[in-house]
Amino acid sequence: MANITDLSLSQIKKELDGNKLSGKEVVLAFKQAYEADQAHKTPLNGYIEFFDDAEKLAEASDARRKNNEARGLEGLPLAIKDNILIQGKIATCGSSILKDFRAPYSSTVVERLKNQGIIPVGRTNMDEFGMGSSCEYSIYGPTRNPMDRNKTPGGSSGGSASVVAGKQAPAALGTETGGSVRLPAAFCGIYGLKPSYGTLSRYGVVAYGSSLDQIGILSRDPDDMALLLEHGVGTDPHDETSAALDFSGVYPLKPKNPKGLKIALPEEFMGEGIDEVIKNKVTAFASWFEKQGATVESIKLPILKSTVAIYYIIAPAEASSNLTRYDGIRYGFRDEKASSLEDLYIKSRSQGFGDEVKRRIFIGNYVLSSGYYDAYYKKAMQVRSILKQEIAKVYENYDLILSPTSPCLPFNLGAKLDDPLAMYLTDICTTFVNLAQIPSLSVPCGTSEEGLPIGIQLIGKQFSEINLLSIAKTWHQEEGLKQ
Amino acid sequence: MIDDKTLEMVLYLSRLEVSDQQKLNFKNQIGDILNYFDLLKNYDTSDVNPDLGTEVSEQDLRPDQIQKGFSDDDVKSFAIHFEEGHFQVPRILEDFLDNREEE
Repeated sequence: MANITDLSLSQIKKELDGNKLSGKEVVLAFKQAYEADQAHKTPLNGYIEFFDDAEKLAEASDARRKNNEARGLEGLPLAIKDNILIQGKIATCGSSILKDFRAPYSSTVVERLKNQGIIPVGRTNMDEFGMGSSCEYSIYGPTRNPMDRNKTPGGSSGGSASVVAGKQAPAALGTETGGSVRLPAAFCGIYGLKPSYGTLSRYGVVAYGSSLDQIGILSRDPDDMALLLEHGVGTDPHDETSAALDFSGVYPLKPKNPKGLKIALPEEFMGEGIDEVIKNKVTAFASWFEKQGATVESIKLPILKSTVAIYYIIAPAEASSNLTRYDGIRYGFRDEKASSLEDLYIKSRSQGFGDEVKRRIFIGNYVLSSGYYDAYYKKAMQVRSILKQEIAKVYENYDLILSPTSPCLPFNLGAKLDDPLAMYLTDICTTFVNLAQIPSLSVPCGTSEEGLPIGIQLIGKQFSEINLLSIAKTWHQEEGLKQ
Repeated sequence: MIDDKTLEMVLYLSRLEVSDQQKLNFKNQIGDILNYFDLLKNYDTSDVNPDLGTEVSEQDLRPDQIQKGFSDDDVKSFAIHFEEGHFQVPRILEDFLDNREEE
């Protein structure tokens, strides 16, 4: 058998269910991988904390299995991004303002997965409050890319991507607002799923942009995503936007042959501003689809060039409202030296938030303020309407949209820290998916000559994530496993 | 580029303070970002309804039943200062009290 840490979540499930491995052996293997990496001269820094109680939970899980009480996800380890609440655990969002915050309840998705036997093994590093594309804006320092430690793993769920690609966890939960699962997945050479808005409850996920936020999954095999989705979906009375979906029986995925599919390839993502190496990979991926009997057609969708502008108005506007709750009164950081209530708000927030969070709160309040609201916020919401209509029109004629996940290869740590607009433009290929609230899967499609991973998105209609995963499974079995 | 008055106003709305160097960075960086947003001026939106992001088509009403909330111990586990069922905050009537003392 391969090393435990090389196994995907579904392979581990098979070994556990066949009593060939114990849950404790599995948790220990990943813990040892994490500890070994900590001794590296430049550790990945994907985990903020590997949980002390993971081994005990694994022992309890093994006992349950012995008593024939194993549940659907019994004993499977999962890393969790540090903005998804796990009852009793610290959840910082990579921010000083929540440095000591201990979650009083679990998010609905974590609760559902735990009830099916998942063992949360650790919490992963992230850009502060999810605001960043490189996993460098964190009080815990930058996370590194396992494929090249001088490069960023992408962000904001960079910790989750790094621990999965670095074989310190078989799979991880991340969150997306504008590409924060798919970009790190692409940079680290793994799968990254942004489900449709509403597929997974947002209850217990620290809010950033509420009309865009969604829990996502990072793994090395599409089947792992189906396994977690099967047990994670369903309406939640705590989140009115959660959809009434039933994914029972989707795992294991039935591979879907792309024969007969009509696929749109927007030319806006195949021209200027996109790295040639990435364009070549997209062309090769499109050829694979054609060989399978699908039709791939280039389409014009000029609005895609404007989606970063729409996104960076709407997301900061929603963030500026969501982050008013950090006022130093009830929880989080408080400046004890403040001389008045207003001083307390200002001092606590100013010391608690990092520069990028302050920048986005500022932009949000600017675009919402009197005199600027119509020109920016209202305008962005109107153009978002147009975007949704244009995407819907594409799906009248096509089954899928194909696009690069990132316009560039993983970049050096520090390269874009002083140029926020350049950092924002890293999201050019991903934000339209969140604005349109549709699902997208970033598929690892090989590397550049110097070994840097490249991801390509399969983007579907709302609630078609299982279809995307089933198509990806065919690709994974025929091509992905050869890489 | 945004002017100093607007910068100060929005910082106050945000309940944030930043150093003079950061103010300068903000003016330049946010100026660039606002210029980039001008892309959206190319769209005629006179007849377009804003997309609010979430559409809850009908209100999902729950039965009016008492549910378990946090115990005091739960709240103490995450609160900054919590005593006898209350979040404690600094004295906020200082101006009022100081004036009274002077009288």
